[in-house]
Amino acid sequence: MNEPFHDRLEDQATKTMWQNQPTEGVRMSTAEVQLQANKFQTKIWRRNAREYVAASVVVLFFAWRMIGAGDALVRTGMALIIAGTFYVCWQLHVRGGSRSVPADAGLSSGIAFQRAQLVRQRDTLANVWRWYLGPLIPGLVLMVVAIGRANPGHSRFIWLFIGIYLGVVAAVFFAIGRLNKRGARQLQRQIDELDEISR
Amino acid sequence: MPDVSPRPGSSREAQFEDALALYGAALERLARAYEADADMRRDLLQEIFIALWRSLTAFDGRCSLRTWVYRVAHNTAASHVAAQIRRSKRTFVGLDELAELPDHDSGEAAAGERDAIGRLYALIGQLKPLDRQVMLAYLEGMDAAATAEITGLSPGNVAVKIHRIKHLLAQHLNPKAQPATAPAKEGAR
Repeated sequence: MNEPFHDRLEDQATKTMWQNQPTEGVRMSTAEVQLQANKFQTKIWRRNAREYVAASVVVLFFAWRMIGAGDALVRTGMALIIAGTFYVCWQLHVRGGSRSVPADAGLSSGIAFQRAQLVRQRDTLANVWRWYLGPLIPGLVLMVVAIGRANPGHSRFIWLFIGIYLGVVAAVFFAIGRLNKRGARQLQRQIDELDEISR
Repeated sequence: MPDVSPRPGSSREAQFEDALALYGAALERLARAYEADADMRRDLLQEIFIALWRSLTAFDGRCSLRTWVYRVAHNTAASHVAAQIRRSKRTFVGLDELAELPDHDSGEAAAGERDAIGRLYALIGQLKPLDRQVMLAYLEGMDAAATAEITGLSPGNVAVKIHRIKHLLAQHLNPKAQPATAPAKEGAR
């Protein structure tokens, strides 16, 4: 590309101005960076631990209620909720594992890195029924149905209450599912854009 | 901006020291280009240093130290920007869209009326991460091949983007000297 001499001078002047701007001279010794890297890992561990405390409260509550429940179906429902909570926690751990930049970030070009991040986020949102909502459904449904069966004396009101409860839960789950699907579609558009650029 | 191969058989410590001695100032400029807030910028720079330190265990000399350092830095900063987007719902534009925008749509742009460097940062701060990578590589004096290696764009695409960058810089830094020609074909954002 033949540029006029004046334009080349302008370009060079802009680059020189950029490269010669004053900086603070922030540096880090190897001892300091090792210390900070360890602190960073501890911070991530603590953040994960906080997330697991919330799950532990759910598990402990249902475990405690399970021990006291007389009906075998109610106990099975609670056991399924506990199992579902464990599964969701494990999935959160696996899917949240790349919140820090991976150690091999230098092997990925800008496009490859961005694409991998977007694909990971898209899959997390697109599969929300499979890893987040779905695993909790069997336990929730079985438990409330079992509670209804265990109270035959108040059958009309209890089944009305159970119907409303399940309806609200279903509406909330579907709303979460739809929002996540929409988010996944937006991410897919960004992935398509990157693929277009890479061609 | 020197492009060097690591010293043969050098340790991770030596590679890290080399990287900071050679590219420390450029990394500061890069961090400022991604984060306007001074405190968050210091955090981002520290995050880049840590990511670089961790990454050097995987550095096998398949690319130059400069390419490696820039990839790690940009990828770390792009993650930082992605988190920012999720939190604030902020949007960024491509080079072509930025050329159409008026020159006064951010706080830093207003400050930039007095300061060409400030105006440059304001421009860069509006760009999507990939365009930002090309712009920074250009300003750091890298050629199209080195920029392509860092970004993953084809050299042809980089050339198109550099053409747009020149136009944009002329438009915003020196409005009287705008190049007359526009790119004929654009396969990129």
